[in-house]
Amino acid sequence: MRDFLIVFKVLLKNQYSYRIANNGKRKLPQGITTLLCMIPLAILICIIAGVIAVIIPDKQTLSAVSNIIVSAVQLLALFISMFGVMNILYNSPDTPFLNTLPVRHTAVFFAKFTIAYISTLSLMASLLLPSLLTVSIVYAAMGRAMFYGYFALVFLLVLAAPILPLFIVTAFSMPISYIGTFFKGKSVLKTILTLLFYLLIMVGYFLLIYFVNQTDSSDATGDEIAGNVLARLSVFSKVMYPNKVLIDFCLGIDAGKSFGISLAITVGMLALMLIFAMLFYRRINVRKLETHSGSSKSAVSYKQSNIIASLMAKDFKHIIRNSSLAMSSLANILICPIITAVMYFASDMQTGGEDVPMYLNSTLKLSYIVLYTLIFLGGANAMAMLAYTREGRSFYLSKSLPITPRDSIKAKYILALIPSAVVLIIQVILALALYKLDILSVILFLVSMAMAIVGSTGLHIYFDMRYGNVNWNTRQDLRQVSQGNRGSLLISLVTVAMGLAAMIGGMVMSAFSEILGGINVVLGVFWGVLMVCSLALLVAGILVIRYKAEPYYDEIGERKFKPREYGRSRSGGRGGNTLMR
Amino acid sequence: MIQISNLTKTYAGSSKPSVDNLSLEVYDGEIFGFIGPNGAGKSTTIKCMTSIISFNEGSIVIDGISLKESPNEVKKLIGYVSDDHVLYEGLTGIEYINFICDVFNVPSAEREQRLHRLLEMFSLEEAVKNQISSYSHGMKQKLNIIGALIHEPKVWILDEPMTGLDPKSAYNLKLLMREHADKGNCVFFSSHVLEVVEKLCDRIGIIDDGQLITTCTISALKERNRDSSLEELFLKLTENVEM
Repeated sequence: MRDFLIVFKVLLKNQYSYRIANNGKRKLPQGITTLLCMIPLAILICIIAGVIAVIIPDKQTLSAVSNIIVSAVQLLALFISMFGVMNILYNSPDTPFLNTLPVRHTAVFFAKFTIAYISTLSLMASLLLPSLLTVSIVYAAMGRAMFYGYFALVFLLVLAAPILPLFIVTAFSMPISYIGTFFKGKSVLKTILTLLFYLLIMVGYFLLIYFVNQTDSSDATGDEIAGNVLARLSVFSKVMYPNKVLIDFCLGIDAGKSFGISLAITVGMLALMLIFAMLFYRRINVRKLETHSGSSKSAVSYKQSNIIASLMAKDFKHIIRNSSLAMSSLANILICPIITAVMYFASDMQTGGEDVPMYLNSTLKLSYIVLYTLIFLGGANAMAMLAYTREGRSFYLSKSLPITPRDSIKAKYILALIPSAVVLIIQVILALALYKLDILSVILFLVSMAMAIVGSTGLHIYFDMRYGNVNWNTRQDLRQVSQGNRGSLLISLVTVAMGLAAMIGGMVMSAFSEILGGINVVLGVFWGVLMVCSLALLVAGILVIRYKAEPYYDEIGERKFKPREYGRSRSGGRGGNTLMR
Repeated sequence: MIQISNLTKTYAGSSKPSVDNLSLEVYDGEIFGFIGPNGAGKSTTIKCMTSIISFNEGSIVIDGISLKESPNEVKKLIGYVSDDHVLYEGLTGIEYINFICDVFNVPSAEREQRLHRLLEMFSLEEAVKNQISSYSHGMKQKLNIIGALIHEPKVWILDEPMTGLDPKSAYNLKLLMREHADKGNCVFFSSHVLEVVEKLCDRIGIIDDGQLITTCTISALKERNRDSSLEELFLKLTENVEM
């Protein structure tokens, strides 16, 4: 306990010390800042919750609805905070320093876990408190039986809510990080495993969405639909059992039993984390600090390559041998076919429904696959968005070498297109085999998407050269640079808008196909407009890269980087709440 | 030969130039020592010479080729050792050297021979197959030096090259520098270790607060100030310390 308090106090103090030091001005407390950022989302959730609360018939349903809200916010916190929490626990630069101190590793783990908890709590509280209070106040205002102690106990509920997502992150990440220490020096294998793990989590998430969104026959009555929804809520509620028992206690439903079970579950989670920390945490931290041979197993070769191939090979190895860089660069591209496949089943496109005409179903399928391809391979191509930024300060080395800007840009462009090209082929296979589109549609899909991807990739690289920054220090800094690039954001929005326009336009035109002259006319217009937009994107991308990009090559290394004020970060501050500057 | 004329560099957001109207020449056959206090503008000058950053005014000409007009042609002549040895840490040492050789068009037939000689000199034979991320500070510096010299450039620009080197490697580097200059090439060398500068360099330039205070040969400096070391003279010039 003593070790925990000593480490926790200093980490907490350090996290908030920046607020005054940097420019002498006092900044808003982190909780207030987070609250202000979450206000629009909180208002939306409150409106939806209030509307739903009107039709809640009893306390059990109120418990289920509250569980949905808590679970949704926990899921949001999980995805927003996951990498930040892992950075705090495992990649913090203060680890070597803390290792030299006479404090227990479990104490350090729980101190850092508590810091992560505080950061996550501020995010979740800003959404949970208003929404849970709205639901319960509206429910009570409708004259239904309500346990008024809930309005005090809801704060306990909010305090307990972050524990489950943090437990999930820790319970998964610690054994995996421990196993990962045995792969020290096998960086490519580690990268592949990391990417696979990420894809598995995403598949699981989408399967959960599919499960929750199961719809019954389309001719069900309103009461039957409501009954189905309530039945599904009840099942979901049982799945999220830790939340269910705590909410039941707060609502006075079998209060004693619910409190006992909830307490046991919370203590169980904390005990399990203690056991994991005792077993794994020390080794993880020690092994992370050890160097490794990391030698190349292939025979030494002195073969000469041309400059473009050499630059591409250098860049590719840099990415694939760094698992977090590989995640940043490739995750969005790799998720594309998974979402395309999962959404095919989740949207019931395989049957289409008895009342849905075949052509409408075909257009729907076409629109979906175009939408996902444009979003992930065009708008979210991180290989292109971080083409130069990901190099960091090693870019200065490149700048001192006799590499022409044109050769450098060409190498970046080709490398950024390769993963997208591979995934586009997979999308074509999905279009043929799963979505069962006709051959002409598939060819038009391939051509239009290829043009859009080539164009958007060029534009992303251009904007990274124009607004990117290689002078970052930590992964948080890298994330800040990539999120702050308004040029890349614009291209992402354009491709998303194209995809949505294709989907909505295709559906609307199909619905009015008889007025417009038949489905062939509709498809003709659909493909015509999509081809023109894709061609415009292609021409813009190539012209910009060819004629506008080179002057920005020299400017890349000259932009100073201003890190965001730390202490506002939800993930716990600079470099994962480090004591080192 | 290196000719720097009226070089001025002001960083964005700063009112004061980091390098202010600096002019100097480095002749073939000499080792030129470039020294100054921290923040004087040494690294800025070197980064301008190697095209890492642009400069506002002035010109840099290396072997008759203007850096502004033909930057890549100038870079082909230079072997540059940076002070921060930031390398491509995802590569192994061999992969890094092969990449440098590809950039400078070093023929395959010559790579192995040149590399083995340098690896032996800097005792890096075992580690060169390992990933650079596993290297110690000194090993990275050695690889940095090997990468700068493997393509046998005419002009060496070395920014604190001895940092982190073990005695044997530091000694061999000094031998190489002397050998290179004696063959009629030039070496531009920046260091804080004034004893090394005093022993190794033919001429020195002292920069302070962005401006070149003086350039002179080591022998002339000693002639004028018999009882003082370079260190004492340096302090006298830059700190106005009474000797």
